[in-house]
Formats: sequence, structure tokens, C-alpha cells
Amino acid sequence: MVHGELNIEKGAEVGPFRPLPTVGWKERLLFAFGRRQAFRVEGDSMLPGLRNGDVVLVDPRSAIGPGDIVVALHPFKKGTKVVKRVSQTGDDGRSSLVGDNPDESSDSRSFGTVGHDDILGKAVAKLRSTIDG
Amino acid sequence: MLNKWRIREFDVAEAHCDAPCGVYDPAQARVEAESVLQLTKKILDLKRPDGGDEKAGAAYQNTLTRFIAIKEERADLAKHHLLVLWTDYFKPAHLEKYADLHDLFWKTAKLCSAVKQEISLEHAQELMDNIKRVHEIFWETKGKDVPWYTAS
Repeated sequence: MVHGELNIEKGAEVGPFRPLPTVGWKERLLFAFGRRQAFRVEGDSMLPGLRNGDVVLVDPRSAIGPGDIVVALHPFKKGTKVVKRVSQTGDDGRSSLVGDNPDESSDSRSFGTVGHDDILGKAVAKLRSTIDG
Repeated sequence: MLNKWRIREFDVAEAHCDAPCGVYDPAQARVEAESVLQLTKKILDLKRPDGGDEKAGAAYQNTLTRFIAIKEERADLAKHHLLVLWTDYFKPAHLEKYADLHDLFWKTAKLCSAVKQEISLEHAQELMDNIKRVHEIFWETKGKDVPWYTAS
């Protein structure tokens, strides 16, 4: 009920969700050479694309735009990183982040927009969880 | 090389939800503030018994003490419900639209303290007026037309 109040609706600005490709040999190589960072996804706010326990590979150098999945620093919880999708980017360079599964997501609807410097990178590939099946 | 990833050692990127239910309504604060207003009236109207009738005296003390105890409790509850709305429901975008929101909540929370300490009809009514304003802003943010009403 609390979600969607700011008129950020699922897919409203981001268009059809682009699923992340599964990690291939190229991404493996880039990871090996330190050009990709790996994060473990915890929670259900990015379902169905990302499941709890999945691993995402993040490109810290990529440009960020609406529709991209990013890993960002939480604006209020120091040290906490979140994985969300960019719904829109303002003229001031700040981005709104929203979960693909808004009913299970705390995102820009509650913590506001996120500055460019707090976005650690764009998720470019995923590896399915082998922990949770 | 990736097959040997030790996944548990990777940094966590949270895909969480903080909100347990997302159900809010300023009516909770309104009901408590209304109780405070009514109890303030009752305390002011309560007549001290004449003469030395001990039973009547004890009954008076008992009633007055209960009025005071419940008024204090309800004032605390009103403040609690207001703080929940302020800190959990309202978002940065709401503040942009309602520039006086922080001031409104701050003053309304202070009124809760005032009506707890005092027996002031004026402050109790002011608290109700402020909660009415909170009600109006809250339902505006929800895009719903919910008329203000009181139970008493």
C-alpha cells in the first residue's frame, strides 16, 4: 500500500525489463583481470530477474542510464549496498532506484534519489545461485 | 576460474524491503488526541466533594487519578503514532511538496507533551487542529479524499 505513492510504477519509466545475461567467458575473463566486481544478492526485491543468493558482476566504468540494474551505496545506511534498477536520472545527475518487485522493495520511494558517486557500477551479468537451488 | 568463486565471501548487495506492512493512518493519533481532549474536559469539570465524607473523598481521588493517568497515557500514544507517520511514512518527495511538514510534526509532538503535563483545553484543541492538518496532507499524498471526522 505504501508503495507506488510517488507515481513510480513498475516499469513506468524503465520500459520492459532487460534481463541480465548469464556470465559468459568474456565476463569471466574481465572478472579475473579485476575489471568486474562481484556481489551476492540478498533479498527478493529484484525478482524475478535476480534471486536471493544470485551473484551479479558489476562494471564500475560503465555509463548508467534508466533501465540499468546497478549496485549503489544506501544513502542513509552507511556501508550498506543495494541492488536496484534505475528508473530515471535527473538533470542533477541523481538517480531514482526501484526494485523490480516493488512490493518487496525499499528503494528511492523511501530513501530518495542516489548521487552518481554512490553508484558503484552497472550489473552486466549474473550467475544463478547455487546456494539456494 | 569462476567455478571456484567462493560466493559466500562476496560483498552483499541488498535487495530488501524495510517496510513490514505499509499500513498507516493518522486516525490512530486522532483517536488518542480526542481522548486527551475529553479527559482534559472531565478533569476540569470534576467537582471535589464537600464535607468530610471519606468515601466520597476516596471516590473523587480515584476518579481524578484515573483521568490523569489515562490522559498521560493517551498523550504518549498520540505522540508515538505521530512519530511513526513522520519517520516511517513520509518520504523526501513529500517534504518537497509540503515545506512545513517537519515544523508541523515537531510542533504537534511538542503539543503532545504539553497536553500531558497540563490541563489545557486550548492546547488539547490545538493538538486536534494540527492532527487534522496531518490528516489532510497524509490523504493528499495518497490521492484519496478522506473527510476529517471525530468520534466524540
